Amino acid sequence: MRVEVRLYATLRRFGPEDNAPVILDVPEGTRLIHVIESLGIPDDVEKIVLVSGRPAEPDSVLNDGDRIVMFPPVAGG
Amino acid sequence: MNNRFPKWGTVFFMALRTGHLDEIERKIYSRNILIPEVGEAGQVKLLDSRVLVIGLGGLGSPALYYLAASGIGKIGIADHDRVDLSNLQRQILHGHRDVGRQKTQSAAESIARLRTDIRLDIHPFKITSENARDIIAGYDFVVEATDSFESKFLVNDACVELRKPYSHAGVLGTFGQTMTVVPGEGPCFRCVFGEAPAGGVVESTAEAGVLGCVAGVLGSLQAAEAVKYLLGCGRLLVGRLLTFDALAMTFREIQLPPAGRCGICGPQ
Repeated sequence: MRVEVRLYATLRRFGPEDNAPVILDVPEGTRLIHVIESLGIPDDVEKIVLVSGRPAEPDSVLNDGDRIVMFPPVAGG
Repeated sequence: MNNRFPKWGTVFFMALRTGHLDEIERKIYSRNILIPEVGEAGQVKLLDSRVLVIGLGGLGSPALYYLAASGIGKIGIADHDRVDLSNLQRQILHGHRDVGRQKTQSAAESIARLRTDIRLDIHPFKITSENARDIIAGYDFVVEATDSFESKFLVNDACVELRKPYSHAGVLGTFGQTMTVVPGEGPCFRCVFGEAPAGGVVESTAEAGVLGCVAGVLGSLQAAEAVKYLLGCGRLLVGRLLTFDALAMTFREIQLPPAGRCGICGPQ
């Protein structure tokens, strides 16, 4: 199945140079944590993750066509 | 201090509003009035509106300038901090001569140069869980321009409890993001960001820096959201997080989850 990952702000550094969406072909039953690890995003990097518009946990099972969005909390003012 | 202004923390000059604009106001706000969504009735609405700006730093500076310039009648300004040299590359309300002074004081002077008729409420202390509701209750819209997660969650929770609309923004480095919270109409900050991250886990501007003009862009967007809300026009950033990337020079929008995840907001 195929999922799409979009990275924002400081998390952009874990994606392609041109910041294009990352398209991944993954097996059925793949969990969110597998995708996060495959992108090389360390556990300790604070991030908000939405899967197809819904909050998701690391062990959430992904579905074909899911759009995964990751962005950091930013508090600077 | 200019003798025209009797005392900080008090009303500078109370314009007697009669429901229509006088000739000077028509001239000052002529470029607003020409906009179909504003018009003379909208300008009167802005002059009758009350907005609170919490935080007079990189976001609060442009937000406050543009809100005042747009003709908001009464603005509250809240900040407990004093001006530091390291603030000056982005906090354009303050200048070299203000270093060491209370930010509310130098901000009030900057705004008084722009508007002689504005009603300015000065809150020169920290917004806490004890005082937040009392302060926020007196305004129609809040601009949350603070620089810590603690303050952002505190303002969110108070606004949600009071059903008060507000604009959130955050900046870091060359990035910024903003969303508008209208309780009952979309998710709040807590619905999206959950709990404040543990201290030190997320970089601050003191560690990672921030480009002054990035804060300028986001603060200006916050002012635009406030004006739109007060006029009842356009499409607010409710349920949407707008992200700005100055390196790629792109704005992108993230659709946010529905309200209610936080347990404190949602339709009533």
